[in-house]
Amino acid sequence: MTPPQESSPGSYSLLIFLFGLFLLVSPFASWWMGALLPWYFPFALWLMIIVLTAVLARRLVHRNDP
Amino acid sequence: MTLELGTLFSAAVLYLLLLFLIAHATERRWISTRLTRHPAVYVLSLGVYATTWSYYGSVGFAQTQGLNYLTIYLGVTLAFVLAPVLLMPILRLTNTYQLTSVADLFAFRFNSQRAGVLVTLLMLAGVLPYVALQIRAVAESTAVLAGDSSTPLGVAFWFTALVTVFTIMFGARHVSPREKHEGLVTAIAFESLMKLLALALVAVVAVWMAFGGLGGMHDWLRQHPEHLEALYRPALEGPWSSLLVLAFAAGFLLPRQFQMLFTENLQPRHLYTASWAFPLFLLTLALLIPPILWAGTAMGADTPADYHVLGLSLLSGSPALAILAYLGGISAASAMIVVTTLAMSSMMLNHLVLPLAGPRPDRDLYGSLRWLRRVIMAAVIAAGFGFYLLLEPTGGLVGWGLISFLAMAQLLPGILGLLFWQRATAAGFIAGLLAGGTVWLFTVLLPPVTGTSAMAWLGFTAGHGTLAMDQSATFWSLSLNSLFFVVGSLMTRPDRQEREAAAACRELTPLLPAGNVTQRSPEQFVEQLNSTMGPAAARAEVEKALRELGLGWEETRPDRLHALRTQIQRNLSGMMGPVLARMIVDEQLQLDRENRTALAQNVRLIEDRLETSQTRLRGLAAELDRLRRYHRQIIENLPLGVCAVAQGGRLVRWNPAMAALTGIPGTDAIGRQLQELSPPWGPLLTAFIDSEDNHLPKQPVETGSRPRWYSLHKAKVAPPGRVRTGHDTILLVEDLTELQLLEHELTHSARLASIGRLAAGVAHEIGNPVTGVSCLAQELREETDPAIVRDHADDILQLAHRINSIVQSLVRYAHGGDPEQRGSRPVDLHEAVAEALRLTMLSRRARQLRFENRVPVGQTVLGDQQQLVQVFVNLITNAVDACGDDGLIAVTSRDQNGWLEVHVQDNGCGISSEFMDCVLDPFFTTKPPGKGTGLGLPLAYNMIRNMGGDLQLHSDPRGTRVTLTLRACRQQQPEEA
Repeated sequence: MTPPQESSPGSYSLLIFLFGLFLLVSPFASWWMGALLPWYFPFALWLMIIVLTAVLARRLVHRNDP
Repeated sequence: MTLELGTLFSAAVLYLLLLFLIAHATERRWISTRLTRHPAVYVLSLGVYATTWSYYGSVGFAQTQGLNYLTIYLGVTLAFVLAPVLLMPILRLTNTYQLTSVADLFAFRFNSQRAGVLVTLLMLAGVLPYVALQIRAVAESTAVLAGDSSTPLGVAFWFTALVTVFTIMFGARHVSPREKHEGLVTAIAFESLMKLLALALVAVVAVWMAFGGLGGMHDWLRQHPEHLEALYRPALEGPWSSLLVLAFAAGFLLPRQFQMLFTENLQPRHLYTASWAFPLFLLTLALLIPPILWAGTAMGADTPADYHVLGLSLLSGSPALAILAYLGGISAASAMIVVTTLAMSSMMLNHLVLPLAGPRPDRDLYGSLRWLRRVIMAAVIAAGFGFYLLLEPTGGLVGWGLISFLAMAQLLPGILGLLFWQRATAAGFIAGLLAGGTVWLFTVLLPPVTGTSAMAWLGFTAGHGTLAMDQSATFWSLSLNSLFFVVGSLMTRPDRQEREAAAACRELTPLLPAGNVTQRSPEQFVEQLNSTMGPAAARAEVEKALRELGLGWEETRPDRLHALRTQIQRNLSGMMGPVLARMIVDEQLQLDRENRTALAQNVRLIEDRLETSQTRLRGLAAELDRLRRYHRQIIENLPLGVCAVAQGGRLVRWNPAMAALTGIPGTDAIGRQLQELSPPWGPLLTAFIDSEDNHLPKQPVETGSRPRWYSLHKAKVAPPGRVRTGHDTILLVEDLTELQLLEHELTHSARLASIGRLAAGVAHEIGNPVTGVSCLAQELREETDPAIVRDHADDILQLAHRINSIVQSLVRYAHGGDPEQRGSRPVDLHEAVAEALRLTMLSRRARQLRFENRVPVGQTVLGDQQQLVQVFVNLITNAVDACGDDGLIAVTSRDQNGWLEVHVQDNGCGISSEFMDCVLDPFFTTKPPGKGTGLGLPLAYNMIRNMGGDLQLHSDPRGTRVTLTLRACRQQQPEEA
């Protein structure tokens, strides 16, 4: 039997994008903007998006290597 | 502390000279390519995004708009998150179709020169304020450091002049902008590094000076919570979302970003690295902004917040730090101007200049293009300088940058349509762009120039240059743009070329070639292109395309010539833009659309496409592709030679076994006409495919030093689809050489064995005449009568002749013959039967039986004389063994519609029905041990089959009849014996 199809990289990147929108343009964003959190908090969120993208990119680079 | 204007100017000049050196060293390969082609260089080169707006202006932006300054980087991060679905498809398109700019991309997708012109004009109008912003930042930063409140126009001018020289030197080296500017990219990467280092150093020094360290800064923030609130509050109230959208678009649509991301990309996988590394670079830059702002506030820096970076470096009292900070700004400004100008030059050349004054055959095409590009570069920078003089130097640096960002954002609906909406049309795109561009022009671009807002009725009551107005302009321009784009697209229909381009952009399989190229050789390509490009450029372009495809000037295969045409179009697209390239190629290298190519002829093209899109296939398509690969692998791994011939006689499949059999590699064979193959294969396969036979057994073929034998088979293949216009043909070639050689040896052995069995009879047959000779010789010794002597001599000669005849028959029979001389020739059937009877009669047993050769004299069949005699010897010997003392063996023949039926009939005991199925098996015998090998009948059967005939057995207790069916030869009229 054929193994189940692996999800496409596009779907993962869309998920990260949606997660990024949740962090940056959603009621959650309004909450952290109004909560007077430490000044580096937005940078931590940003770093989280970058790390997720890096994990995906690493898989893509390996996948596309001959 | 202030710095001398001369010092600053000298530092700037020396710095720009260093950039010259880096670029030059890279192009001369003085710096290792392992370094210059490292993904980090690509990532850092993308740092051209961070201009003086980021370097200087972000601090001022953060002061007035708090966290909103982050949107300019966060939007880019979100765009890079979508690299696999947004950026990678664009990269594939630009690489595949040699598209050099965003205008090329849209002109290609919508197959519209107007679209290209419009995008170019919008880009030009959008980037000029941005170029002006860089010049202004350099001028103002010089003023800040020199302590001179008046803007030094001279500095702005000389900076502009130096950057112009640098741009022309390293940006217009190549004829085609598709050729990579490695030197320039390395220099830009160095500038990004410089920006980051300078900003980081200033931030560290400032925090240390103002707060004594990070802990002190946090304590200060706790004591002054209003600064933290000032950071967060504007994000809640301000245009956070609309700025994110603008930065999202700018991240890959700004001309400089497009140039670095796509045009200068050396390895597609570097884009994946950049998808996280470039946002990390931006995060590092952005992270330094709040500490610099707060340090400036805490220390009471007297510079505007836009120039706190310089103010704080002055406060440190270190001229070195001040100069480093200044050079960071120079880096930001020069990198932006250089790359933007490079990108704009190819856009303007392809979409504004060349459509008006296309290439002329009487001029050096490459030289003209190079000079035109240089002139355009100088003109763009000069126009930017003009804008610097024209625009009001009031407001923050960010305001001018946002003008450019909003212009780029007008391409966002188009790029989404380009990638994801196949129904989008040129008319819709142009309508949307005009609508959005008009709103942008009157609300964002003109007010800073004219001082009034011409579109107050749309709700733009705020003064120009404010973020509120930009937010409204973003909303209205993009909304109207999208609305007109969608409605315009739905109201119009794309033409064929637009549909093809749309399919290519969506990574759907484009339509297959609509016909063969009318030119028959690369030389004819040159002749056709001469009239447009001139002889030198035409030859150079054809030669370049041939080299890239690995083809030679002697190429004539239609599919390769089609690939050559496509490659030339792509290369010209990189040089002159997609629309002009398509126009030239369509006009000069026309397709014969009347004569459409069959599916089989496009097999290679389809397979190439499937290979390149393998990793992108999903679901059922991926399963089908796996199935296709499996089936193809079966054909590739078959130990039989397989080739497929399309209806026109062109080879479309040539498996490795076929290549090994023929010594002709698949790359040489596929695409050629069958008869173009070198002998013996071309003539042999052509004759076979033209013949009515579907099988050709054991064909001797001269290949090199020794003959080989091949069996050929063919089958018709109907192409898929409802319309059946003809058939393709599959040929199978089976190498039977080893089997044939084995068979020869076996036949020879069997023949020698039968001679052994005949040996006693031979001795008897020879013994009698020898005795006669001996007697006659004794009589001769005493005889003196010349007449009697002559009679005896004649008798001796007769007896010797008889011995010789017996010996010759044996020798002929024993000799295997030369296999190389074998083949179907006319054979006298009567003589063959007679020869076989003579041989068989040598046996003692045979002499007791009666033989009748009733085959008409002169009747001939097609076959091998030697083998036919052996067949009859084997059959008659078997018959002799089966008959009693009154045995009768008769050989008769009958003409049967071009075939001769030869019957070998005996009146022996017959073959038992239980053995009938086995007698043709090798080594099966009913004779006692030592009397038979069991090979006679199977070999006879094989030999008859090899002659294209048949052998059948009929047996009952009254005797056995062997029927041979042989191909009759019509050369002679048979006579009754």
